[in-house]
Amino acid sequence: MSRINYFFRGLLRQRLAGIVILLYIWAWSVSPTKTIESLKYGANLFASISIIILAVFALIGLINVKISRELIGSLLGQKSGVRGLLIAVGCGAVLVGPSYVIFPLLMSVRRLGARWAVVAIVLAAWSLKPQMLPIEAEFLGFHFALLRGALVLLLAIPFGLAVEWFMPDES
Amino acid sequence: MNIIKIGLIYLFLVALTYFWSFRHDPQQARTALKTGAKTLCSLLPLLVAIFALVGLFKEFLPPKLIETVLGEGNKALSLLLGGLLGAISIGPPLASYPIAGSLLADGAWPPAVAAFIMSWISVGIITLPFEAKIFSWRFALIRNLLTLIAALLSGLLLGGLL
Repeated sequence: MSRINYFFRGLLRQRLAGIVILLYIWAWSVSPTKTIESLKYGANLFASISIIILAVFALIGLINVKISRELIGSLLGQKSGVRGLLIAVGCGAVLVGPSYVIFPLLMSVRRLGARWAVVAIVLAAWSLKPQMLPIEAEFLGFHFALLRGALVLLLAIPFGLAVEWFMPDES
Repeated sequence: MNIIKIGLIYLFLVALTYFWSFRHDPQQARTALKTGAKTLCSLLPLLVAIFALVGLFKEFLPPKLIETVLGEGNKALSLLLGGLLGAISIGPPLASYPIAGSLLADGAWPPAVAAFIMSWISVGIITLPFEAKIFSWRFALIRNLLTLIAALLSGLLLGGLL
């Protein structure tokens, strides 16, 4: 398992960096001046956003230690009705971490007896990313970020039930 | 309000939380700080690449092209393309915001950009084999397909509400 995790982590990171380097080589051959302008623009943007990035990652560290994965697991592990689905939305919304951590975690919850709908709902609500809200608002506007968040939460339960409907019957 | 001010306010709030956390449980607060720093460091190369990419977009992608491909001209196609582009792209959500912002500034149709963000964050074509390995192919395929549909739908809703 850990070998797969490492593989995907490496793949995700290096592929994009590699593509960007190739694009820059191409860009340089087309127009060195424009290439330098691109670099400058990117660097300025990065510099202006760096304070928020710093704050966001400090927050991510806090969430990581304050909200234990075991707690979330125990909340979703029990057989629960509508309440379980609502808890799933809440857990997904506050869950922080990359997919190679979240997927195995959710599968362990599933093995503890959680419904497929719960797994799908957590994954849907997980795309809320509240910790990124200030960055999202900066680039796309406050209304955009807020409305997107509301839609994620509203659609999570119907979505989860739809996924479960397509899964084989469990009895 | 400019971005640096917002950043400072945010940083201040997080620092306050840390202050409280250090008084409460210094060991845990230190772990939190370390975890955050480690996550940031592991993502740093990717972030540099993303901002370099946004710079290239700005200089080399003519706004006209983005307007044609993702603009209001052919709404159905723009929406679908936005969703599909988001699905095949790689990188954390953090990376999608600056890219989506530059698309929006270059005249892309807002619902298409919204679909792009939604599917970037939650549809993972690249990580599909991994998801299938953990949950089964059936679950992974159904979840990703339905998520893509949900992304297009929310894109439309979001665009309509803005």
